[in-house]
Amino acid sequence: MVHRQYRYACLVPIALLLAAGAARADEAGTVPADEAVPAAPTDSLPGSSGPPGLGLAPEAPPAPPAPGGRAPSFGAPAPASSSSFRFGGRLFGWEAVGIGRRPGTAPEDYSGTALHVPALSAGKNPFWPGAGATLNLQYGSAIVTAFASYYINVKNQEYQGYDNAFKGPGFGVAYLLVTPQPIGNLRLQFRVGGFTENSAGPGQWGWGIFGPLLALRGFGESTYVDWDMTPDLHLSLTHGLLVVPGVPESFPRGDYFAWIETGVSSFVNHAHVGLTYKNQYVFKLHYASDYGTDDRQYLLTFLNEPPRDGRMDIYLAEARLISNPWGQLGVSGGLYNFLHAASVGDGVWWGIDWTQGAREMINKFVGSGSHGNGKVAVLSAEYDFSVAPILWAPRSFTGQAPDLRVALAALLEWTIATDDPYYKNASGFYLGLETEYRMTSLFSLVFKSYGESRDSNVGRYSVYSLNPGIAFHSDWWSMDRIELYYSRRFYSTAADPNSAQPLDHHMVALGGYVTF
Amino acid sequence: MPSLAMAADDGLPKLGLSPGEPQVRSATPSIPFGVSPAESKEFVLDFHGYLLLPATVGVHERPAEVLQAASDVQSQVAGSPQPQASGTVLHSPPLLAQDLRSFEYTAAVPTPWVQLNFVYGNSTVSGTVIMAATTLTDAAGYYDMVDQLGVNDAFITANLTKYFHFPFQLHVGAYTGRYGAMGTYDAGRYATPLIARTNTIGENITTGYKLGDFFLVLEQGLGGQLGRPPVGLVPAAWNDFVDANVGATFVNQAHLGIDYRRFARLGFHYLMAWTQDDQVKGGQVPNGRITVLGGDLSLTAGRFGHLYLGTVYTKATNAATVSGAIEILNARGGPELMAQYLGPNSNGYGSLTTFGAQYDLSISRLVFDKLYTGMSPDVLISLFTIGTSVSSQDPNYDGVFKVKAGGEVTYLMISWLGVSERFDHVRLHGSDSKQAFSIFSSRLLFHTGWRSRDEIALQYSYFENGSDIVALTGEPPGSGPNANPDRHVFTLSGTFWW
Repeated sequence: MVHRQYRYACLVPIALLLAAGAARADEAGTVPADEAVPAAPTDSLPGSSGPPGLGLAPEAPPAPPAPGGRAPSFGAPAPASSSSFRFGGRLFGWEAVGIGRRPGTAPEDYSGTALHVPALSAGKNPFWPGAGATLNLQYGSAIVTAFASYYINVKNQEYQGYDNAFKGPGFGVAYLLVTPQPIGNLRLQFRVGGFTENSAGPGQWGWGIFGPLLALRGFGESTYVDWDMTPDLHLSLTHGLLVVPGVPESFPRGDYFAWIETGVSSFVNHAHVGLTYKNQYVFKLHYASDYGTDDRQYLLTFLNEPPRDGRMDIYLAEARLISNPWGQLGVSGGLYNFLHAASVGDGVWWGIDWTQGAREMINKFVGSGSHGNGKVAVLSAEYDFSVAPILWAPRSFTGQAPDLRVALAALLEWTIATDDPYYKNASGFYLGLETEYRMTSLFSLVFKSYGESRDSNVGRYSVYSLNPGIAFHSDWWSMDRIELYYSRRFYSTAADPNSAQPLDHHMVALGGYVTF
Repeated sequence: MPSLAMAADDGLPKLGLSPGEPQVRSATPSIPFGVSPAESKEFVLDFHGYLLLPATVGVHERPAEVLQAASDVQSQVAGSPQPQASGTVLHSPPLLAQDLRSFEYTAAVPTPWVQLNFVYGNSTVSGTVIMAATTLTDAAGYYDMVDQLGVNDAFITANLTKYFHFPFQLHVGAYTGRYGAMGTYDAGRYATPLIARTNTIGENITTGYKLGDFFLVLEQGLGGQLGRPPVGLVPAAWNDFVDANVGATFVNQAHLGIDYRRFARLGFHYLMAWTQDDQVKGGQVPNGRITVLGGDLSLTAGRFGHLYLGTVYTKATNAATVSGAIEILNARGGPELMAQYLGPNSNGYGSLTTFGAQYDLSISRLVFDKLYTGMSPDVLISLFTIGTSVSSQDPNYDGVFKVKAGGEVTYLMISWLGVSERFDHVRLHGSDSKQAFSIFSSRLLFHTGWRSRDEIALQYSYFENGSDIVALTGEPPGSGPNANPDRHVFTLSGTFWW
């Protein structure tokens, strides 16, 4: 009797656990199970029917089942889905030749003109150097999508004299994007994997000439909430946690690998809130905290100080006005706060003007004598417009006619707190102008100019460039370009301090890209 | 077949090869000159992939002596502020005794794996390229070329069944063979092929013959590695700390299986990896060999779940020179077999007697049988174990018995949510509890549907480590001063396959 009671006691929770299952199983009772669950595939190839093997198929990943064993493993029978495959990317190739100057240490009989590849230059270029591709592969449905991005760079000895293994190829980004069904006016989205998040770029598409003021990276998640508060007012919230795995302290640096900061990890917490009114006025606030617990045992930080816990906090605001036909004006600004940030990895991937991580931000804006502490304020603005829509108004301009496109950008930065005497009250500015006159469907005249001037520990660091060029494209709307640039470059002594190897004042670049 | 973009005949005579031509010499002509190759609309591109992307954080207590050491260093650096290191350290990746290549690995804490499969072909012949990585450049601390595997597998598959009128499939190329997969559709909870894994370029034939309700399956394979480490190559991070004293290694294998109505499958496995290379240590080393003999039984018992039982005997003979063409319990070749099991003084001689088992059961399927379609709550139960007994010439390793076992219960309560508990216990040296540890893992599982192939898992794992358990860290991996393993590990992972 006792045993029977015990048996009943065991059955009760099982029945409760599976109660809904019984109900639904009853409902599904009219459906033959064999139809509901597809038969086990006997093949792993399109259309083929192979014999059952005695081992795993070579196509199967060397991985355990998903945590919990719930999600069926690779190759398990699964219902057919309406998923689709999308293949996109960017192919590019640039050759930039710098025309050298006479070295200050040249012997008397020095003659000739040196040609440099890669060009000896500093500051911003009108192109991304190198040759390669980014391949974006996407598979999924409206509910769940997998995304993987593969980076390829020309790295062989045939093209650059030596095999540079550091250039890849490799998977750069991969994540899972889950978009549940909307709940009324509320839409949710979850991103899980390894990816980047970019914010506070004043450009038309969120980046701009001087890039986003905040770019984050790592493994982790982001949660997106969109809510249509009214037909005109739209609220968006984002929160995420990211982890950048650290590098072992004993890792060899600077040989086949880049000169990376070892022994530090990054843990990033970020939150964003945005309001959009009538799809014309956008206001966003951004917060990110990059935290690192330094675990180095024998190495000092790059500031030659003992390791400790550190953090780098970023507070940014972003406003944007989009007005047809006048273009878009974006303004972003805020504060970077460093607290023993030499112990922080580069979970903050880009800060001001594509400056990478806490280490480079410290070196560039608060100085090596700052002990990793300081504050930097920044203001970035960009105005993008196109002349033809203004002239054509009120008629709509489709882009299939001559046009002059203009992007104007400026960025100001101030060091408002640091212990480094060279950087106390330091400041800098960045200016950018990019114009393109689309003369015909096949041909454009291009002019780009950039300026950068900021305080440094060796004086005022300034680089200016004038970059006229021509561009060929296959149509008004095409995503392909072949471009030829001439670049005239000007440097201050702080930017070009080595008279024995002076930077190039002249550069010629030829290249192209296709985006698809 | 040229693509549409390349196919257009613009009438321009070409004075050189198109840059799109493969940069290899032409294959032996199989088509007469002037005859166009066959075109078939049957050819399709098939695209598959798998993502397992965890963010993992280990929580560690900074030892007092380390804090003191930091303070001592601080006192030597004039002018810098006082140290502000806290007692708690966050690690990513976590410091765990979970090296994939060693017996301690349980796969309880997921690690990244990205894989894309491109298959092009028809029902008879196809080519497969698999690109893979164990990290992501944009999310990692640095670009590690060892973690970016690139093209990991490339092979041709010919299915000649319709020509031979009996099942016949041929693989030729570079691919992995994994035998002793304990899961129904995967390598099992430990992600460890029990019998062996091969990494070769060569051939593999699978054929069979139907005898009533029985299906006789025969597999044969022969392959070797593409090369061997050059003599004198210095182990370094970029070459994954290779052992340059291994020789060119080949693997011969044969497998026999009897399948009964897809309910039971009995398999017998024989693999032999050997090297006879005169370039190893000046040709003074005798041939090395690793021989594997195993048998396994897989029961797919419908409502009663899936049961796998296997046992394998692995014999090493001067195995130090056998390369990673063969993996035993994930240990690559003879050098890692010695490092993990046989011992450094074994001279590569010894044996492993290994067993493994896994049982997976769906309670809903058990209760409702075929009425259960996977579209309602369920409780999944899994039990799993692997053990091995070492016989070695190294007295410190001879007689060592290693065993790991665990269980997992997963309750899928609604279509998008489940909870899971997993327990693992690992004993690296018999009853010595100093060399044992346990893992308690709790998970929340989120998914987009009852039978969806995606999952987002939030996991906490607690490690109860014996005092002699160390985590490998550093380059090359070793047990450094900060190798005290983490106890608390938090993981957020996303997984999806298609």
